[in-house]
Amino acid sequence: MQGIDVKNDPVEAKRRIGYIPELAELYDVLTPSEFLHFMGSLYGLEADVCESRIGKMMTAFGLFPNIHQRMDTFSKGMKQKVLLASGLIHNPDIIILDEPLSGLDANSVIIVKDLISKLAKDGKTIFYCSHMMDVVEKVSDRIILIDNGSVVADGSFEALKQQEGNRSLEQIFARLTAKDNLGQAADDLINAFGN
Amino acid sequence: MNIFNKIFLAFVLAPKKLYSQWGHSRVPHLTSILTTKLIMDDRRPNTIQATKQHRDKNKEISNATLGTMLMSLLMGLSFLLAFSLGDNYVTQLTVYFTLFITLLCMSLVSDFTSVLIDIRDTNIILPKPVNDRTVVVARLLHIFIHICKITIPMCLPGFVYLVVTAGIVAGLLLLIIAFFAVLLAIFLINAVYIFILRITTPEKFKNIISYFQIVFAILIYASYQVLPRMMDEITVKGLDVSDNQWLMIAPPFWFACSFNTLLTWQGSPVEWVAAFMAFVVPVASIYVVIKYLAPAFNQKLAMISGGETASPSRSSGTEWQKGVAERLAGWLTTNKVEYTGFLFTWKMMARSRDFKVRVYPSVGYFVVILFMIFFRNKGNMDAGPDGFIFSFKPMIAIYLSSMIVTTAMSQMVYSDKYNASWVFLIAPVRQPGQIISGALKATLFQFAFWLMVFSLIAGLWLAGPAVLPNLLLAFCNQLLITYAIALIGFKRLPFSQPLGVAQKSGQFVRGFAMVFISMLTGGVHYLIYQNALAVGVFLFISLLILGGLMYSIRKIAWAEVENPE
Repeated sequence: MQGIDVKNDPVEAKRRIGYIPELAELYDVLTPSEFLHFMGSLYGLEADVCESRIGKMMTAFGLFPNIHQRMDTFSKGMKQKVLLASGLIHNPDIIILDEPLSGLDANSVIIVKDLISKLAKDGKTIFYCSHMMDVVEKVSDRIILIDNGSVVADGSFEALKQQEGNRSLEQIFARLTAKDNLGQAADDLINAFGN
Repeated sequence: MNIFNKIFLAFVLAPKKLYSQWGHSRVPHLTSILTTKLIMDDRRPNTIQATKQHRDKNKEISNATLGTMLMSLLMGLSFLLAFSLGDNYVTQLTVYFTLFITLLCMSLVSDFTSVLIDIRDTNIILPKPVNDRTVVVARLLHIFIHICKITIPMCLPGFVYLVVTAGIVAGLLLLIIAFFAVLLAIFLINAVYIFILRITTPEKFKNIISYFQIVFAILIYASYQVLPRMMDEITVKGLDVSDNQWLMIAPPFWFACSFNTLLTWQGSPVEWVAAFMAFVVPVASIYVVIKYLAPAFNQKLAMISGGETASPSRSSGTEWQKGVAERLAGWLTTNKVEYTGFLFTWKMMARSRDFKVRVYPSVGYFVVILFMIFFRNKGNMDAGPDGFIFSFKPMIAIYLSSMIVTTAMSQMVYSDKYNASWVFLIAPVRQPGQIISGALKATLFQFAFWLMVFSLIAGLWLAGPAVLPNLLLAFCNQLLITYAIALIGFKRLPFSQPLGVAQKSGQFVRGFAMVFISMLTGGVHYLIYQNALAVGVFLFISLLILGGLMYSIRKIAWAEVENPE
């Protein structure tokens, strides 16, 4: 990875990665400012650099008024925004996002999607894991479909469409991964009332 | 951060070279992890605060560290009682170290999972460019600081006492020996953890630790009640522990002996051996911890964080329990809705960890009080010629058990998962009172039944069968009080309110009404309890009112039910 042997020097590799986990898992007795300062210092950022980035990022996310509030009162979306900021604060080259849109309100979804495409334009590598096929379809240059741990498809959306016929990604995924007919499952559900 | 945290932080980070060169860890990372951890410690309720009944979430917890240290100081002060016993240091310090080790273990055992080992670290710190050594060193230093916060205030009173009464050498000696006692305590805690993880699955681990918290809270309360009395007895008997040979296996005895022998340079061979053990065993046990327990421990902990492997197969135990709850519900309720309310509440109460942590300690306090009522002064009761006040005791016990139910009932409406109560709101239930009624019955049965049976048996045993009508009346009144309080105060669905909602107005009036109802019923009963006829009449009236109350509870309409918003 970027000339770094991940096995030998995992720390150096981590320095270039921004990881944003799915579950809004953070130390919620801290305030966003404290948490992000902590994160920044783990990436070796100077306190004043942190301070200005935190201010700007939180303002952009509309969380600036809450910056000194403890996060235990935050909604899922607010926590998600803080997590996004924590993964981006050190300006990483590689960003790993796991369901980054979960819990976000409609406007924030637009901001984040926009952010992702702008980061990609900046030359950053983004791993975007999601079950929301319609979003994946729009934001991805290359799509890897994984079923039970094994790769079942790998390529751009266009290439996948050519391979599997002109369908949406959701349909392609269903075709490749579903063992039983999904329509049958719905029928079974309907039939469950039949006694 | 408060001043104590700052001092501790500066102290442990002083040997910077040691960490960076010898320990291969990065000091800036170390500083920021520790700073964050200490800030979080300050905002986390400690064991005592966590079990408080009315946790006010709006009031943010800060400076919890000071609270913890103050608690330890108070415990340390209570250890001074040991010095009032007997007339030699061996006896006094055996008691002292027994208290010290017990309370230290109890307070640390619950802190280890909630404070010291945060499974969120895996998600938050590990993806960051921090090397593993740094994380390990930070964790060790955090544990060290935490133990210091508890042990230093705990030792302080004993130290001051010994310096004043026996000179500075004695004081310092106590501190040195206490250090070895702490090592032993760490070994014991590790052993307990490993043992728990052996016998149970990681998923249940947190539950078991919360039982430790509950037992801890009750134990402190019980010892506060019982110890002074025991002390009196011991002082009268002139206890001297050195008479007992079996004490050789008790660690507190070793520590006491090592103090005595090192201070006076004299003692029996037994005492010298014990003194020797006081230093060798802790060091050996800490070696075992580092060499064998800690690796196994870390491995197991990794299982806790990753272990979401709920086993689908149910044990036969849960099957049986399920049968009991359903059968009880069948007997005690009259329709489907009430049945559902009963079962739901029963199971939630039995399984919700957060409910147990809030309620069981106070239930424990009342059980302690109950035992005190029956067994304290039992001699007087048998011998008392008038027997007037004493034979009312079983009834007092029953009335007290209504306090337990009230406590459980007042907590039963709160839950972390209060939002899930939407299920009641969307269900086609005409009268939510039916659900509340079922919930009340479940609470009554789960919390009062065993105590009532206990009081009944104890009452019959202490006062003879003649007391039976009075016991029945007390039973009936107890139910009446519970239902009346429910009707006044808790028109809420079970587990439907957020914890620590702002107290609504009229709370005082309600509280007053509750006390008034209990006092009135209990008081009238006390006045007439010797008159069989009056008891009969009262029993009849009480039954009538009870019937009426049960009816009105079930008729509670949606408009009357308090919603969280």
